[in-house]
Amino acid sequence: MRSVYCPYCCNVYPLRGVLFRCLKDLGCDPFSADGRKRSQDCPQGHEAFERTCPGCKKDLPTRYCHGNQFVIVVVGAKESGKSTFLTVLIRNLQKRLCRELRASLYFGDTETENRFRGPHSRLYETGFILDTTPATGPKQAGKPLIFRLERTAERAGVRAAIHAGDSFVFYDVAGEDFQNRESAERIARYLQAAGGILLLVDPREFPASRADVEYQPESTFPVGGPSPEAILGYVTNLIRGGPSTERLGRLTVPVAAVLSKIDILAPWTREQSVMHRPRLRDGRLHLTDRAAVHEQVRALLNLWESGLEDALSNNYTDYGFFAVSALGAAPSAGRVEAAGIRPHRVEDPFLWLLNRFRIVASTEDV
Amino acid sequence: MISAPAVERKALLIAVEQYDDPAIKRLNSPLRDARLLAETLEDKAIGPYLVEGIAGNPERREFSILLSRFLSGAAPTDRILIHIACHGIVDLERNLYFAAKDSRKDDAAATAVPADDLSRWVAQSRCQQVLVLLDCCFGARAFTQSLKPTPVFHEVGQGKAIIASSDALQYAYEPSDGSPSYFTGALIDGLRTGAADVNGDGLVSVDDLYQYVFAKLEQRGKDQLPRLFSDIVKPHLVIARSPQGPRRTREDRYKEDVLEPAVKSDGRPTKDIVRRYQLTDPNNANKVRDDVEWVREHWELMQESLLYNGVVRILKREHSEEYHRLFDPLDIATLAAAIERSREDPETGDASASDRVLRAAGPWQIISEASLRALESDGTHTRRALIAAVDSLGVTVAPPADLPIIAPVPQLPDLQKFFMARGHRHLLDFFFGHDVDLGDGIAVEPTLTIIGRQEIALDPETLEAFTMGPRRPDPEDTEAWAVVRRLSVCTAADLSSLLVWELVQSLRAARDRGARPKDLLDHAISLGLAEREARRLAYSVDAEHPGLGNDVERRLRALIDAGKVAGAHHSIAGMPDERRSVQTRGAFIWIDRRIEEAARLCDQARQAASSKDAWAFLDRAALLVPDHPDLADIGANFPPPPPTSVRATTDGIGILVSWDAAASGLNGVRYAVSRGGQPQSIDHLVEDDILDTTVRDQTIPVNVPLWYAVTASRNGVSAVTAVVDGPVCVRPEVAGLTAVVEDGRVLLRWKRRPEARDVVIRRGAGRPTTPDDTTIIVEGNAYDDIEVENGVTYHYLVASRYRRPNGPEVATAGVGITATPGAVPQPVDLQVEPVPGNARQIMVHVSRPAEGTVEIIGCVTRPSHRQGITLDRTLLDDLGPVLASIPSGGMVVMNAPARPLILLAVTVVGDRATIGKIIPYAPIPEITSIRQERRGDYLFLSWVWPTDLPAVELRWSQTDGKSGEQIIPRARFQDDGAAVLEVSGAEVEVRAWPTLNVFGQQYKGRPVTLRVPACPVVLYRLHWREDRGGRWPARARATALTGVTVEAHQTVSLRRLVLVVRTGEYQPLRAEHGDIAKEWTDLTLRAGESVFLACVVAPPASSWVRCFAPGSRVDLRDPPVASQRTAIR
Repeated sequence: MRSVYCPYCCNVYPLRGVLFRCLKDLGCDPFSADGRKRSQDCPQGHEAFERTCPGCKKDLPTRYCHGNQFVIVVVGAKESGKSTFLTVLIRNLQKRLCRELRASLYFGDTETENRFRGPHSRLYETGFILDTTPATGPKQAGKPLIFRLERTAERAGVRAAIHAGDSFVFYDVAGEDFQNRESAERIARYLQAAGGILLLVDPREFPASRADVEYQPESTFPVGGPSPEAILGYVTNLIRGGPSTERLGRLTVPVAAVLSKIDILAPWTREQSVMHRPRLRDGRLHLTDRAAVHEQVRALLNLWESGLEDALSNNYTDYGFFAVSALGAAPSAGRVEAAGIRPHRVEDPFLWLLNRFRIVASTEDV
Repeated sequence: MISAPAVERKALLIAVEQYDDPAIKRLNSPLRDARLLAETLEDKAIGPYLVEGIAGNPERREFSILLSRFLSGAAPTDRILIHIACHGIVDLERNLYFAAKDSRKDDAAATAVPADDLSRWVAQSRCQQVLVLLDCCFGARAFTQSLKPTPVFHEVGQGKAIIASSDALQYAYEPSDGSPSYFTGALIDGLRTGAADVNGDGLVSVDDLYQYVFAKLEQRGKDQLPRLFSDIVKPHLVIARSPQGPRRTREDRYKEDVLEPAVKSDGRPTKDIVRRYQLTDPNNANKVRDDVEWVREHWELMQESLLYNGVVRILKREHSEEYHRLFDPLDIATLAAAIERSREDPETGDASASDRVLRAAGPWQIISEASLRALESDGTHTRRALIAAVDSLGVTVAPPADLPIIAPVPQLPDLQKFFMARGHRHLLDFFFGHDVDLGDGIAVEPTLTIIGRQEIALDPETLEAFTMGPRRPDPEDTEAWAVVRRLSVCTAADLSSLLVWELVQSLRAARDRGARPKDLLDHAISLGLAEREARRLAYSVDAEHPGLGNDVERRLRALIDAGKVAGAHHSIAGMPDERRSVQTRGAFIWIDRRIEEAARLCDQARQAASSKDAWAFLDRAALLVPDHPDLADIGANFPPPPPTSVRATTDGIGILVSWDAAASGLNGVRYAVSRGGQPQSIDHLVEDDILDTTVRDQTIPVNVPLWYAVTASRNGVSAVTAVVDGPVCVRPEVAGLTAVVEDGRVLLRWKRRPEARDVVIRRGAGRPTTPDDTTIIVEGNAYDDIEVENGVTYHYLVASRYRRPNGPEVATAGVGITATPGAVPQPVDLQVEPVPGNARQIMVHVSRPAEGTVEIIGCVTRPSHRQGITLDRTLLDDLGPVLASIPSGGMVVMNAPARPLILLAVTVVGDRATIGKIIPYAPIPEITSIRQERRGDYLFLSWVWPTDLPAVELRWSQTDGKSGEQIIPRARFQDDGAAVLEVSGAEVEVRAWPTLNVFGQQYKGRPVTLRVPACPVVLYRLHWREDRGGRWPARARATALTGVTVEAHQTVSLRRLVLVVRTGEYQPLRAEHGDIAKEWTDLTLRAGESVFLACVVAPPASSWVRCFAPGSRVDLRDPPVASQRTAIR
């Protein structure tokens, strides 16, 4: 039985139960019909295509019910760079990865577009770094960014009919939101439906790392707030859920532990480091490169006495370590480097998830 | 509930008081609040808004539809206001919903109106001026996303704003006593009293309203504070007017307290220091300094006003000579003493009642009773002392005279313009010239009452002299006669009023131009008034409100000026008595008398024996009341009078026929124009059914004499014979006359009418032609004049000659043209170079022309003229601005143009210019410096991309012979944050040129060169001895290392190569993270060759092996991680 995940109320419903809404009549209430069909006639006789969530009655994005929905939750401590990473990632998906995959990325709804445009224009047009996202409480914690990736299937070099495409629902969760009970309830719902988790870790969050980063004033190091291990603990607990929905054993949801802001790790990344080299841009996941980055980040975390890997290996069957730099250089005086934003390896974790979702292929080629 | 105003301001009010769900408490105030707010918004002094409706207790569906339709139906230019008063319900996910009548508290998502819907409709509405007022609990939750931060930049004064009555976690309260809710109550109060106009500019903006409501709710101390969300850019969106108008500013106070009195007292400012410097607190040194500083700054502003310029100069002079000592240095005690003295000063203070009276009486020495009472009211002087001062000074106590507010003769502005254009001061000048002294003719008779009010009037003798009129206009001066004709039906009283009106208007105009009282008095005297009467008139005009009457009077005056006397009568008659001012009542009596007189004349016209008499009566009636309703009906009973003075004149190749309208020309009169070859046989109808008094005959035979006749008719019947004028004959000039000048030659060309016999040319050398100049007769359409000297300007007059049937040939007046022959300017060469070390200037070199000057012209687009073309100098203006002028060639340094231009070197000699070298010029921004970073096989180059630069061209070469080039567009650079080049590990030299495509060509700027040191790539592989025994024989087990193969892409020397073994599950990141199992030194690797380095190392189980090359600048690349471990492979 096919099901649909509602990105607004974060519940999963059978596709058969999804409601239709007629846009031709403003006062028309959503009506129930077989959600598996492409369209249905409304009580006034108009043909209705738009779908509405049976739970929260919100209109679902166009074509959302066609294809799969993948929920990706971005978590991390305060100032770990989640918003910047997500903004640069989406721009890179549009500008770079889509070209590699011969795919197109669309905004799922206008609210996503509006919420993406603000930080995007701040970073790319005015050159200011993003402010710390405030812990916004339950309402904000539930606001998704919805995208639709459409690809043209290729068969023996001939462009065939359009593939139905898949929807990606991103949630950006601040570490502090886990500590709010009301938020946590909502976060639990979409974590339990998550197809992948991106855990962002700022290297400066590990006290032992401070000797290894390029000189920075002490004041710029994050203080207080939950540690990466603690955040992973919250995530794990929420996924495992309460007594009635408790999931035992190791969880199968893929977790990408992403070391952000690696530009500040210049001593480690400039010499003999695969992290420093760009990935091969051919739209495939290169397993050799993947393994090399994974091992180098593991070794770094070990050097910094982090318990993150143990927490991951004890609770998750599928996880990987990544190293990215969204801006390419450390900002100064609240602005990105004057030459512009030079993202490095930001697509890696998403490409890995796409591979897990069976959307892109992998290769052993070096 | 719809009000009338046809303005674009619209409002929708939604109020929900009652709820079906018992869980939602009934509210007391929303409906009443909505009604009060609607009344307030409909008030003309505040809005007015067209309140489209008050939706009381709507159900959810109606609520949504109302909001959606209202917002989607508003035009972009509308200004709309929405007020919603209801319960706000928040669901478990903290979404806000507006409760409708049928909403259920436990199922808000399905039964209430989501605030997000409203948010979306507001954002999507085309209307650019939207204000939403939300009076509900948790209101701030509704708009956290849609309007903040500002995503769109609106035009000034536009935008969308929401004022929520409470914050996201606050309730909105209403009092239990039935008065309006705190939020809406504050809104209504603020708008009604004008208190919401926080900045006092007379307008209530969204910001004003928010600040006011915030302050009011904050005062209440309740846990309820409003929130504003807006994307409005300054100046702010104005939503209402303050009924109080703009507040009196500090500037106004200074004007009224200091400047105005000083102007009235003939430039003597007050000596009172407190008033003079507007000291708010003379005992506070800081405040004194601020006040004095403000006053002195304000003087600078006021000095620009003609009216106050003189006073301000005096104030500044007295400050620098005397008063500055009080403030610099400032001593409060000294200042206090000086203030005390300034009050005691006999000139200003208590000591002189006479002086105060004198000042109040102004230069005209007349004071009103009201002014006396004002002087008395401050308690400084008793009434008795003031009256004594009045008596001793000979000042007159009198009220200002009531001055006329409307012109006594309709359509008077035309007359005034006529007098002024001819240099007459007024009506009497027109008839008598300047030699009449009006001093004796005008008297102010306070006791004389004309039409129920006191008036200034001509005395009877002057009237007599005036109506007799010893001077008459020139018989040829038709315009003057038209004026006399209009005035001829006026009575003596009318003319008296007319003269007074003119004098008053003249003084009013002087006053409105900013004349000081003394100037006003001088002006009155210059009009010919005796001094006493001049004083009286100037005093009355000065006492009048500068705006000259209220709106009613202004409208009345406009009606009379437009000749709508009956309309004005109707307008006043329908007005309630209490709205009529004294002046209006006086004007009404006057107009009433006119109407009566016109009605009497109409009666006489009805009974007239002949149509001529009838028209005479109607003419007079029309002059008195041009829009009298009876005129048309009576006129319709008589045949129209004939038109007068028909004139037929040639106008180019047509004939213009014009005539004076049939006297009065009342409705229904049409004209017909005919022509003929003889006055007796005018049989060709040119045009009929003409309403106007001119017609142009276009289709006429050339060189044929014609006569024109005009007849007036009504309903197809003409009563009198046509009036005829002629003969007129059209003989067109030559067309398209041009002169082409060359070296010692002028070539004239034209086009002659076929009816013309030939063309006569006259020429004047260096002067206009005269009839005595010799004539040249040409039959063709061109003339080549070779008897000319270069540099001399020749004037040619080219006339066509036509044959006459019975007489000599006749020539037209002719068409003139001038030409200056001369040498052709020679084209010159042009080169442009940058000025070393100065990017803002360029050096321009031009070759030396044989004659003339060289101008450098900058064109935005490629010019249509080719190099070497000679053209008229005036045509250069169309090409572009002259950037530099070089008298005789050479070099000049000029400012570099800021944008791409085509530069032309143009040689100019006399009126001619020759285009020389044409070169494009493109200023290209520079790249200052480039940063490089090698990442694997790629070189990342980044720099600060200059504004307005579209692309950069990169060329690189490597020491191993590889090279490449690439054009990097701005967009690609922004995507990668750098220019990315695929390179080997050899040394790279990169050159980057900023490039620009303009005028169809690519231009390159100054290149920047960068050298990137080599970082050779070295690969290594580990060779393991594999053990296939053990528990899983099928799987190979790496047990011992037998050697390392090293390979480089280019020849390289490695100082050290170490093999590091680390036990455990983590990869060594540096050599020091493990044990060095083997070390090689001074290795030389040739390009492309593999070197096998044998060794025998047996690392422990579960360990890592990795090579490092410390001390060498190479890019050492590891084999796949699987081969670095001793684990199962």
